[in-house]
Amino acid sequence: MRNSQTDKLDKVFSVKPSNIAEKLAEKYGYRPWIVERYLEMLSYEDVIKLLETNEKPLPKAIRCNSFLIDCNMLKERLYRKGVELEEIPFTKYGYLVKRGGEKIGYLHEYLLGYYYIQGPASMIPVDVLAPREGEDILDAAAAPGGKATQILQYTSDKAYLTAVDKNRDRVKALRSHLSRMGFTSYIIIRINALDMPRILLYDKILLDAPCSGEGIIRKDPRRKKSREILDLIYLSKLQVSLLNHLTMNLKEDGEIVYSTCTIGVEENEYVITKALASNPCLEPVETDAPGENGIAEYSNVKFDERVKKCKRIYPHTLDTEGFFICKIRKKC
Amino acid sequence: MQNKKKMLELAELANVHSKLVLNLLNTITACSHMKILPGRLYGQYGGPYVEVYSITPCLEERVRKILTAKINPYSVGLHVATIKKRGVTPSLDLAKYVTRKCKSSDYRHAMVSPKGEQAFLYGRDVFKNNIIETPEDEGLLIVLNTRKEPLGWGYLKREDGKELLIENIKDVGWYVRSGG
Repeated sequence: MRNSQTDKLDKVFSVKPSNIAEKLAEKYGYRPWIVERYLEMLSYEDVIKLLETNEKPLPKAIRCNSFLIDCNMLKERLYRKGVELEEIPFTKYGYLVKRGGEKIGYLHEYLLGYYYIQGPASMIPVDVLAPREGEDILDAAAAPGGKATQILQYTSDKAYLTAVDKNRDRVKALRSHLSRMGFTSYIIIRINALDMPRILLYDKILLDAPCSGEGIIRKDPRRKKSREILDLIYLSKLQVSLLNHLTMNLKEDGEIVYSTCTIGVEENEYVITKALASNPCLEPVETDAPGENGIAEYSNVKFDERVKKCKRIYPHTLDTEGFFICKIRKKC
Repeated sequence: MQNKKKMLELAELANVHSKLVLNLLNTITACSHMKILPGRLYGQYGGPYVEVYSITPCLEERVRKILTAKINPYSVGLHVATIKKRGVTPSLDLAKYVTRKCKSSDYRHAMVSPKGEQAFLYGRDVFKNNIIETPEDEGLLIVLNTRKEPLGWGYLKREDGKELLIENIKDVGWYVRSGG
């Protein structure tokens, strides 16, 4: 039997586009229901800013691999090759590529593993995870390896990383990036994270969940129209299952960071609220990540108040991708 | 005929394969194996060739737990080499590891010019005029650029006993050409 709380939460999937949403959707090339949700989350002015920002390409960025090279030296070497970098203020090893971005995928420094090409906001989940040397860490949807390599970089290759992904080709890319960047303290498993056996326990887990990718419209404008609301229902179910399953792989007092590159509540606050309701041992943790607090109320639907501790990053606020990040501790 | 797909199985490396790997290490470096290899050797069996990994004791503990759960890892620790019917091919990881752990005087290497580096990273061989430094004798070696950064594996040949050539075995350009 479904309980009434669950029924209330599921109202987030009933979207009726208003006239304003229809007009904005037509102007910017979106499905109207997508824009209607933005109007529910943000002020009209911010919705316009968001839609305008999504019209601009995502700034290119790299993460310097401090495990293999001094970042100032990398900056200098790339400068001599016509690539100009500028530090990203909110993440330690991130740099925006201000000039020469077309070359960064094939320079010798790239082949030597001195950097990883990564969106600026996508570097934040590992900052929030704050991995430490000696910890057992699970990256549950690891391919192609941006965050897995970041975890080992931050721990100087001294954490024990289990990197999991189910896709054969993507796992190949994951191994290639870990190898290129000089790391060895890892185990790659090709498996669906939902099949992770319970006997494997971790201090920290990163679940950068499969999502609709609404936050990366700047990278892939097809996403303005490629999804239906039914996709969100499917994805949010999957995300809740993954989060519930993986919390069983967490040691007591362990922490899981849930992140998505999407800004809709359906794949974020809704998922966190569901997970908190099914596991009283879970407690969201405040972080100093940039961005705005999670949304506790949306379209007359009340989420768990604690989702305010999660962080939302909108493309127009930091000129990045859109992201959602939530750190949760397992208290018991 | 049965068309059953073979399952890969990670297991401690068989003696016969260990000998091959240790022979390979002996030919390229004077560094002790203990210094180069972080731990015990494992092999991924069941495929067309054997992938060899070296795993630290701490990581090995975790690998054993995973194997107990009847899950076979795809890749673990330091990838050392690939054993095929026709011989052992050292990995790019091994080249990086050796250059990090040992002094350059302790491993066989050749140094190539920036032009030679460019050619090598495109998967090509490097010819005499772009070779700066080599050992005396022919054979497998690590190819370095002028900054002593490892570019991959090459095979030094002296054609007609005179002309130098570094045959490309595997270079880090592989990461973008085939790495995925």
